[in-house]
Amino acid sequence: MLDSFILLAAATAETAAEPGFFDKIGLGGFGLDGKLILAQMVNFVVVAFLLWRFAFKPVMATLDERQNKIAEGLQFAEEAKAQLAETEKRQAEVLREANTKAQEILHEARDKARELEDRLKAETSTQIEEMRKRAEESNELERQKMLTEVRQEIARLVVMTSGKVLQRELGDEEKARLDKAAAAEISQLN
Amino acid sequence: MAATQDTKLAKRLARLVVEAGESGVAELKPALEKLLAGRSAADRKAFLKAFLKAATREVQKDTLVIESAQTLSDEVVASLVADFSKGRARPLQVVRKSNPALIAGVRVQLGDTVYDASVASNLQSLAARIR
Repeated sequence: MLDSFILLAAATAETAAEPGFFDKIGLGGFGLDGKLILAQMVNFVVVAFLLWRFAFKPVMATLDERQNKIAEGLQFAEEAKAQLAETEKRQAEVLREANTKAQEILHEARDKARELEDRLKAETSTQIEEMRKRAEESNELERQKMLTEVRQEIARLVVMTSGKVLQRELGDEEKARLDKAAAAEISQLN
Repeated sequence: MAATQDTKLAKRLARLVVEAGESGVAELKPALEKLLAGRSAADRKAFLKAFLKAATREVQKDTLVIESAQTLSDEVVASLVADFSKGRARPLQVVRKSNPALIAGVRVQLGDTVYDASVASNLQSLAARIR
Protein backbone atom coordinates (compact mmCIF):
# COMPACT_ATOMS: atom_id res chain seq x y z
CA MET A 1 0.00 0.00 0.00
CA LEU A 2 2.85 2.34 0.88
CA ASP A 3 4.63 1.61 -2.37
CA SER A 4 1.55 2.49 -4.51
CA PHE A 5 1.04 5.66 -2.44
CA ILE A 6 4.64 6.74 -3.13
CA LEU A 7 4.27 6.05 -6.89
CA LEU A 8 1.06 8.09 -7.03
CA ALA A 9 2.70 10.99 -5.19
CA ALA A 10 5.69 10.86 -7.55
CA ALA A 11 3.46 10.79 -10.65
CA THR A 12 1.39 13.71 -9.36
CA ALA A 13 4.54 15.67 -8.53
CA GLU A 14 5.92 15.14 -12.04
CA THR A 15 2.66 16.21 -13.57
CA ALA A 16 2.24 19.23 -11.27
CA ALA A 17 5.78 20.44 -11.94
CA GLU A 18 5.05 21.09 -15.54
CA PRO A 19 4.52 25.05 -16.20
CA GLY A 20 0.97 26.22 -16.72
CA PHE A 21 -0.54 22.97 -15.72
CA PHE A 22 -3.13 24.54 -13.40
CA ASP A 23 -3.86 27.05 -16.05
CA LYS A 24 -4.45 24.28 -18.53
CA ILE A 25 -6.92 22.58 -16.24
CA GLY A 26 -8.67 25.89 -15.34
CA LEU A 27 -7.32 26.25 -11.70
CA GLY A 28 -4.85 29.10 -12.26
CA GLY A 29 -7.28 31.65 -10.77
CA PHE A 30 -6.91 30.05 -7.17
CA GLY A 31 -3.22 31.17 -6.90
CA LEU A 32 -1.82 27.68 -6.64
CA ASP A 33 1.92 27.24 -6.97
CA GLY A 34 2.77 23.90 -8.56
CA LYS A 35 6.34 23.75 -7.25
CA LEU A 36 5.28 24.43 -3.70
CA ILE A 37 2.65 21.79 -3.80
CA LEU A 38 5.16 19.38 -5.23
CA ALA A 39 7.63 20.18 -2.50
CA GLN A 40 4.97 19.68 0.15
CA MET A 41 3.99 16.43 -1.35
CA VAL A 42 7.59 15.23 -1.36
CA ASN A 43 7.94 16.33 2.30
CA PHE A 44 4.81 14.50 3.15
CA VAL A 45 6.03 11.35 1.49
CA VAL A 46 9.40 11.54 3.23
CA VAL A 47 7.81 12.17 6.62
CA ALA A 48 5.30 9.41 6.03
CA PHE A 49 8.10 7.00 5.07
CA LEU A 50 10.19 7.93 8.11
CA LEU A 51 7.20 7.57 10.42
CA TRP A 52 6.36 4.25 8.85
CA ARG A 53 9.92 2.98 9.01
CA PHE A 54 11.00 4.10 12.49
CA ALA A 55 7.80 4.53 14.48
CA PHE A 56 4.84 2.64 13.14
CA LYS A 57 6.71 -0.52 12.13
CA PRO A 58 8.52 -1.08 15.54
CA VAL A 59 5.31 -0.32 17.37
CA MET A 60 3.48 -2.79 15.16
CA ALA A 61 6.24 -5.33 15.70
CA THR A 62 6.05 -4.83 19.46
CA LEU A 63 2.28 -5.13 19.31
CA ASP A 64 2.56 -8.29 17.24
CA GLU A 65 5.10 -9.69 19.70
CA ARG A 66 2.93 -8.87 22.65
CA GLN A 67 -0.07 -10.28 20.86
CA ASN A 68 1.89 -13.46 20.19
CA LYS A 69 2.98 -13.62 23.80
CA ILE A 70 -0.58 -13.12 24.97
CA ALA A 71 -1.74 -15.80 22.56
CA GLU A 72 0.99 -18.12 23.77
CA GLY A 73 0.08 -17.30 27.35
CA LEU A 74 -3.56 -18.03 26.65
CA GLN A 75 -2.62 -21.24 24.89
CA PHE A 76 -0.37 -22.20 27.78
CA ALA A 77 -3.18 -21.36 30.17
CA GLU A 78 -5.54 -23.51 28.12
CA GLU A 79 -3.03 -26.35 28.06
CA ALA A 80 -2.41 -25.96 31.79
CA LYS A 81 -6.13 -25.98 32.37
CA ALA A 82 -6.48 -29.09 30.24
CA GLN A 83 -3.56 -30.70 32.04
CA LEU A 84 -5.04 -29.74 35.37
CA ALA A 85 -8.36 -31.23 34.33
CA GLU A 86 -6.58 -34.35 33.13
CA THR A 87 -4.60 -34.51 36.34
CA GLU A 88 -7.72 -34.04 38.41
CA LYS A 89 -9.42 -36.72 36.38
CA ARG A 90 -6.49 -39.07 36.85
CA GLN A 91 -6.33 -38.21 40.51
CA ALA A 92 -10.03 -38.92 40.89
CA GLU A 93 -9.53 -42.19 39.05
CA VAL A 94 -6.57 -43.10 41.23
CA LEU A 95 -8.56 -42.21 44.31
CA ARG A 96 -11.47 -44.30 43.07
CA GLU A 97 -9.15 -47.22 42.37
CA ALA A 98 -7.49 -46.78 45.75
CA ASN A 99 -10.86 -46.67 47.39
CA THR A 100 -11.93 -49.81 45.55
CA LYS A 101 -8.67 -51.51 46.47
CA ALA A 102 -9.05 -50.42 50.08
CA GLN A 103 -12.58 -51.80 50.14
CA GLU A 104 -11.33 -55.09 48.70
CA ILE A 105 -8.53 -55.25 51.26
CA LEU A 106 -10.97 -54.43 54.00
CA HIS A 107 -13.36 -57.14 52.87
CA GLU A 108 -10.52 -59.61 52.56
CA ALA A 109 -9.23 -58.68 56.01
CA ARG A 110 -12.72 -59.09 57.44
CA ASP A 111 -13.11 -62.47 55.77
CA LYS A 112 -9.73 -63.61 57.02
CA ALA A 113 -10.48 -62.34 60.51
CA ARG A 114 -13.80 -64.18 60.48
CA GLU A 115 -12.10 -67.31 59.18
CA LEU A 116 -9.40 -67.05 61.85
CA GLU A 117 -12.01 -66.50 64.51
CA ASP A 118 -13.96 -69.56 63.37
CA ARG A 119 -10.81 -71.67 63.28
CA LEU A 120 -9.73 -70.52 66.71
CA LYS A 121 -13.19 -71.21 68.06
CA ALA A 122 -13.11 -74.70 66.58
CA GLU A 123 -9.64 -75.38 67.94
CA THR A 124 -10.56 -74.06 71.34
CA SER A 125 -13.69 -76.16 71.35
CA THR A 126 -11.67 -79.24 70.39
CA GLN A 127 -9.10 -78.54 73.07
CA ILE A 128 -11.78 -78.05 75.68
CA GLU A 129 -13.42 -81.30 74.63
CA GLU A 130 -10.09 -83.14 74.83
CA MET A 131 -9.37 -81.65 78.24
CA ARG A 132 -12.82 -82.67 79.42
CA LYS A 133 -12.28 -86.21 78.13
CA ARG A 134 -8.87 -86.41 79.76
CA ALA A 135 -10.31 -85.13 83.01
CA GLU A 136 -13.11 -87.70 82.84
CA GLU A 137 -10.62 -90.48 82.10
CA SER A 138 -8.41 -89.30 84.93
CA ASN A 139 -11.39 -89.20 87.28
CA GLU A 140 -12.46 -92.66 86.17
CA LEU A 141 -8.94 -94.02 86.69
CA GLU A 142 -8.79 -92.39 90.09
CA ARG A 143 -12.18 -93.83 90.97
CA GLN A 144 -11.12 -97.31 89.83
CA LYS A 145 -7.91 -97.00 91.80
CA MET A 146 -9.81 -95.96 94.91
CA LEU A 147 -12.29 -98.80 94.43
CA THR A 148 -9.42 -101.27 94.06
CA GLU A 149 -7.76 -99.94 97.17
CA VAL A 150 -11.02 -100.11 99.07
CA ARG A 151 -11.60 -103.66 97.84
CA GLN A 152 -8.10 -104.69 98.85
CA GLU A 153 -8.48 -103.09 102.24
CA ILE A 154 -11.87 -104.72 102.75
CA ALA A 155 -10.45 -108.07 101.69
CA ARG A 156 -7.52 -107.67 104.05
CA LEU A 157 -9.83 -106.72 106.91
CA VAL A 158 -12.20 -109.59 106.11
CA VAL A 159 -9.35 -112.08 106.09
CA MET A 160 -7.78 -110.69 109.23
CA THR A 161 -11.08 -110.46 111.11
CA SER A 162 -12.26 -113.84 109.90
CA GLY A 163 -8.97 -115.42 110.88
CA LYS A 164 -9.09 -113.93 114.35
CA VAL A 165 -12.72 -114.88 114.82
CA LEU A 166 -12.14 -118.41 113.59
CA GLN A 167 -9.05 -118.84 115.74
CA ARG A 168 -11.01 -117.73 118.77
CA GLU A 169 -14.31 -119.41 118.07
CA LEU A 170 -13.30 -122.75 116.54
CA GLY A 171 -13.25 -125.52 119.08
CA ASP A 172 -10.93 -128.50 119.10
CA GLU A 173 -13.58 -130.77 117.68
CA GLU A 174 -14.34 -128.46 114.83
CA LYS A 175 -10.65 -128.03 114.11
CA ALA A 176 -10.18 -131.80 114.12
CA ARG A 177 -13.09 -132.14 111.74
CA LEU A 178 -11.58 -129.49 109.46
CA ASP A 179 -8.17 -131.21 109.62
CA LYS A 180 -9.73 -134.46 108.57
CA ALA A 181 -11.63 -132.82 105.71
CA ALA A 182 -8.47 -131.06 104.56
CA ALA A 183 -6.48 -134.31 104.61
CA ALA A 184 -9.19 -135.95 102.52
CA GLU A 185 -9.13 -133.04 100.10
CA ILE A 186 -5.35 -133.25 99.75
CA SER A 187 -5.52 -137.00 99.26
CA GLN A 188 -7.96 -136.42 96.43
CA LEU A 189 -5.68 -133.83 94.86
CA ASN A 190 -2.73 -136.14 95.09
CA MET B 1 31.30 -126.47 80.38
CA ALA B 2 33.23 -128.27 83.13
CA ALA B 3 31.00 -126.65 85.77
CA THR B 4 27.89 -127.95 84.01
CA GLN B 5 29.32 -131.45 83.88
CA ASP B 6 30.25 -131.24 87.57
CA THR B 7 26.71 -130.15 88.43
CA LYS B 8 25.23 -133.08 86.52
CA LEU B 9 27.70 -135.44 88.16
CA ALA B 10 26.84 -134.06 91.61
CA LYS B 11 23.12 -134.52 90.96
CA ARG B 12 23.62 -138.10 89.78
CA LEU B 13 25.80 -138.89 92.78
CA ALA B 14 23.26 -137.35 95.18
CA ARG B 15 20.45 -139.39 93.63
CA LEU B 16 22.47 -142.63 93.90
CA VAL B 17 23.41 -141.97 97.52
CA VAL B 18 19.84 -141.15 98.59
CA GLU B 19 18.45 -144.15 96.73
CA ALA B 20 21.05 -146.44 98.33
CA GLY B 21 20.24 -145.19 101.81
CA GLU B 22 22.71 -145.96 104.62
CA SER B 23 24.92 -148.10 102.44
CA GLY B 24 25.14 -145.24 99.98
CA VAL B 25 26.28 -142.89 102.73
CA ALA B 26 28.97 -145.40 103.71
CA GLU B 27 30.24 -145.52 100.15
CA LEU B 28 30.04 -141.74 99.69
CA LYS B 29 33.33 -140.81 101.29
CA PRO B 30 35.61 -142.98 99.09
CA ALA B 31 33.62 -142.00 96.01
CA LEU B 32 34.02 -138.29 96.76
CA GLU B 33 37.75 -138.72 97.45
CA LYS B 34 38.14 -140.43 94.11
CA LEU B 35 36.16 -137.77 92.29
CA LEU B 36 37.88 -134.82 93.91
CA ALA B 37 41.42 -136.12 93.67
CA GLY B 38 43.71 -133.76 91.81
CA ARG B 39 41.23 -130.88 91.84
CA SER B 40 41.88 -127.44 93.15
CA ALA B 41 40.33 -126.27 96.41
CA ALA B 42 37.90 -123.99 94.59
CA ASP B 43 36.73 -126.83 92.34
CA ARG B 44 36.27 -129.10 95.34
CA LYS B 45 34.24 -126.46 97.13
CA ALA B 46 32.05 -125.85 94.08
CA PHE B 47 31.47 -129.57 93.54
CA LEU B 48 30.61 -130.19 97.19
CA LYS B 49 28.25 -127.25 97.17
CA ALA B 50 26.44 -128.59 94.10
CA PHE B 51 26.33 -132.06 95.66
CA LEU B 52 24.88 -130.71 98.91
CA LYS B 53 22.20 -128.81 97.04
CA ALA B 54 21.28 -131.83 94.92
CA ALA B 55 21.27 -134.13 97.95
CA THR B 56 18.98 -131.74 99.82
CA ARG B 57 16.57 -131.73 96.89
CA GLU B 58 16.70 -135.52 96.68
CA VAL B 59 16.01 -135.82 100.40
CA GLN B 60 13.14 -133.35 100.14
CA LYS B 61 11.61 -135.49 97.42
CA ASP B 62 11.28 -138.26 99.97
CA THR B 63 10.26 -136.06 102.86
CA LEU B 64 6.59 -135.42 103.52
CA VAL B 65 6.15 -132.25 105.58
CA ILE B 66 2.76 -132.06 107.23
CA GLU B 67 1.78 -128.72 108.77
CA SER B 68 -1.27 -128.13 110.90
CA ALA B 69 -2.53 -125.65 113.48
CA GLN B 70 -3.05 -128.33 116.09
CA THR B 71 -1.68 -131.83 116.50
CA LEU B 72 -3.13 -134.17 113.93
CA SER B 73 -4.45 -137.53 114.88
CA ASP B 74 -2.34 -140.54 113.95
CA GLU B 75 -5.19 -141.74 111.81
CA VAL B 76 -5.12 -138.64 109.63
CA VAL B 77 -1.33 -138.69 109.34
CA ALA B 78 -1.32 -142.37 108.43
CA SER B 79 -3.96 -141.74 105.81
CA LEU B 80 -1.87 -138.96 104.24
CA VAL B 81 1.32 -140.99 104.31
CA ALA B 82 -0.46 -143.94 102.73
CA ASP B 83 -1.85 -141.76 99.98
CA PHE B 84 1.47 -140.10 99.18
CA SER B 85 3.41 -143.39 99.38
CA LYS B 86 1.47 -144.99 96.59
CA GLY B 87 3.71 -145.84 93.62
CA ARG B 88 6.94 -144.95 95.41
CA ALA B 89 9.85 -147.36 95.75
CA ARG B 90 11.31 -145.79 98.87
CA PRO B 91 9.46 -145.04 102.11
CA LEU B 92 8.65 -141.41 102.91
CA GLN B 93 10.15 -139.60 105.81
CA VAL B 94 7.41 -137.75 107.67
CA VAL B 95 8.04 -134.41 109.37
CA ARG B 96 5.25 -132.83 111.38
CA LYS B 97 5.12 -129.14 111.96
CA SER B 98 2.82 -126.99 114.03
CA ASN B 99 1.71 -123.74 112.44
CA PRO B 100 -1.03 -121.82 114.29
CA ALA B 101 -1.26 -119.32 111.42
CA LEU B 102 -3.12 -121.99 109.43
CA ILE B 103 -6.06 -121.66 111.90
CA ALA B 104 -7.28 -125.12 110.93
CA GLY B 105 -6.81 -127.62 108.15
CA VAL B 106 -3.62 -129.12 106.74
CA ARG B 107 -0.73 -128.09 104.48
CA VAL B 108 1.46 -130.82 102.97
CA GLN B 109 4.75 -130.38 101.11
CA LEU B 110 6.52 -133.08 99.13
CA GLY B 111 9.60 -131.95 97.29
CA ASP B 112 8.70 -128.78 95.44
CA THR B 113 4.94 -129.39 95.51
CA VAL B 114 2.74 -127.84 98.21
CA TYR B 115 -0.86 -128.92 98.91
CA ASP B 116 -2.62 -126.36 101.06
CA ALA B 117 -6.09 -127.09 102.42
CA SER B 118 -5.87 -124.83 105.46
CA VAL B 119 -8.49 -122.31 106.57
CA ALA B 120 -5.90 -119.52 106.20
CA SER B 121 -5.31 -120.52 102.59
CA ASN B 122 -9.05 -120.54 101.91
CA LEU B 123 -9.36 -117.10 103.43
CA GLN B 124 -6.51 -115.85 101.25
CA SER B 125 -8.26 -117.27 98.17
CA LEU B 126 -11.46 -115.52 99.22
CA ALA B 127 -9.59 -112.24 99.61
CA ALA B 128 -8.02 -112.66 96.18
CA ARG B 129 -11.46 -113.19 94.65
CA ILE B 130 -12.81 -110.07 96.37
CA ARG B 131 -9.94 -108.00 94.96
